[in-house]
Amino acid sequence: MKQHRTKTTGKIKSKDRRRFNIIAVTILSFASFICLLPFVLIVAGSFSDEMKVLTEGYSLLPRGFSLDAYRVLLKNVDQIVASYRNTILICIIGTVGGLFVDSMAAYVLSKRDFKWRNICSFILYFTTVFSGGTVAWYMVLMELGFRNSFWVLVLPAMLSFYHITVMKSYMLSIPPSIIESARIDGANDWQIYIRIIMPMSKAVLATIAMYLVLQYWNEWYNCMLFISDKQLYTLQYYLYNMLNSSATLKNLIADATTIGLSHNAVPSQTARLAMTVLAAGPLLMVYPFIQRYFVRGVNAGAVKE
Amino acid sequence: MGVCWLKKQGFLYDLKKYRILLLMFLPTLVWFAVFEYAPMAGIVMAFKRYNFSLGILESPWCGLENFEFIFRSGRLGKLLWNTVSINFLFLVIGMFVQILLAILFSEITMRRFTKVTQMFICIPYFISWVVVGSVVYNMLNYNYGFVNTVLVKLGFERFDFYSNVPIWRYILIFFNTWKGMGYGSVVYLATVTGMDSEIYEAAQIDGATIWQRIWKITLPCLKPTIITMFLLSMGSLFRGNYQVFANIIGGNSLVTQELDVLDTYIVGAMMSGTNFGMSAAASMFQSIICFISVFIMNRVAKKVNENSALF
Repeated sequence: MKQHRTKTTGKIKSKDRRRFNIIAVTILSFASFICLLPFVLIVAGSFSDEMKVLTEGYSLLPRGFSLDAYRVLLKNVDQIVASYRNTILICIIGTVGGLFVDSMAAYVLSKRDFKWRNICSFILYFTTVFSGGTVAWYMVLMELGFRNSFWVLVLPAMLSFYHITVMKSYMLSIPPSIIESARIDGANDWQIYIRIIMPMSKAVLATIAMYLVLQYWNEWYNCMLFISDKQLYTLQYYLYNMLNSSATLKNLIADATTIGLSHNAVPSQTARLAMTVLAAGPLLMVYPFIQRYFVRGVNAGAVKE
Repeated sequence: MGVCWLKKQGFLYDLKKYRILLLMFLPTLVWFAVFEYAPMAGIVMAFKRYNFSLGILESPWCGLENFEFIFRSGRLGKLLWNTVSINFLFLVIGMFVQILLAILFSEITMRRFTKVTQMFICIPYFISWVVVGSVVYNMLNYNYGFVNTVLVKLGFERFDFYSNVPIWRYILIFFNTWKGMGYGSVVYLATVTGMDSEIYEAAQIDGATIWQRIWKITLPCLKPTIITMFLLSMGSLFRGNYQVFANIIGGNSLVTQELDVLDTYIVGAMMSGTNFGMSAAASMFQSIICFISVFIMNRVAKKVNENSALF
């Protein structure tokens, strides 16, 4: 991040500066520690030996070393593959679709000479003030046949007033003279949008894409409400089931005995953690690379939020 | 006929003139119609005795029966209080931590340290609430949880989090703050770095200490942002985040009973299928108080700072 003032702060009285740095480093280190700790514990736990965990509890380093938890999960390899497939598919379709429709709407709303611009803006804005509420929303989608439909995982979360607004304010900052000269050359609105606006909006598109991927990767709520077909479970919802339903754990025990684990060595504790690693791992692995879009996006959107 | 089409004003002429823009906006319009406006009409559910085989339109009307049920059940007061009080603490404590971190980030001179810590504290923002639920279980479990393992190692008694109901209010607040602090601090930091650096240079020359700079410059400059964010968030005080409660508390029925908020009650009753009318009534009740509070708070925020309201 840009920090204009770091150049000048060096001159401040050094005793003051030192005292501040000690406090700041302490607090920030502590904050980082509590943000990292749970993930270290989960990874360590997922590779632990179940028997040792049961007697000694979780710790920072794996207790013993065992892949039993993962082996048991992979007994259900069909389910895991299906969950990954669903999650990846909704990420791709939702992100591409969301970006396309959001950006078209943003372009239309950024056109100052569009006659119905205010009405259109208001139609979108009003939904942030008033909504039908959970039950009405749920009922309407059920009646529209969204129960056990793949599209319920994609469509209801695809557009957002906030994303459109961020894109719109970015597009408003594109110099009108560029658009004007294209228009004189005979380009219509669609051509201007595709050939000029979209290439110039790459930065904001990348940021919104990151938000959308994040949202779809972590999707479980709509899955919980509408999906009962296991083949349509998302990764997060499969994990949710494992954590919260006793039936899933019972199946796990049955699976464990088939791979030759004795009844009291069933990795019921460590398997939850292994599944957590499978559900959060891929996103956290790309996290260091996408974090900069995230910071940039905040800088673009903070003013408007 | 032809003359009518060519007239320079009129609806049809505009329709033709803006046809490309309208077509581009059409998908958005359809989406908002289906996923936002149709449910607004679906609110009539609250006045019907819902029958699955008949659907929304055909189910018989029942007047205010559903509302009578929910008011008489005596739960509404507690649900409201829980929703508002927990959300308020989420808001105040979350904001405090975020602003504190942002100020530390902005004043600290060690670049690399800032970058690395900033990356670490943003991690929780990127995981789902389900994973947070797993973290909570992993930390607080009575027999194997990390907290208890450490307590035992240090010679203390194990602490039974799961049967201690009042403590869950604080556990909720802790994890909500934990998940949001990275993102929030980046938001406030963006405001701080966007501020005029000349003021700081002037203060420098006048010999201001770090503490004076924070209290006399940074915080006053942040004040409009803080007030706006606070007021706008106050508007959604009645809207709880279902995901937070469902995942952190999980299946603990003792705690769920005590810390039920409007959203968990509504979704729970809706999914159980037995109290459908009541959940519809509670949901409509929530929509309306949300509307009122968002409306009022947007107005107040606009008054306080002319440019800061959402619209």
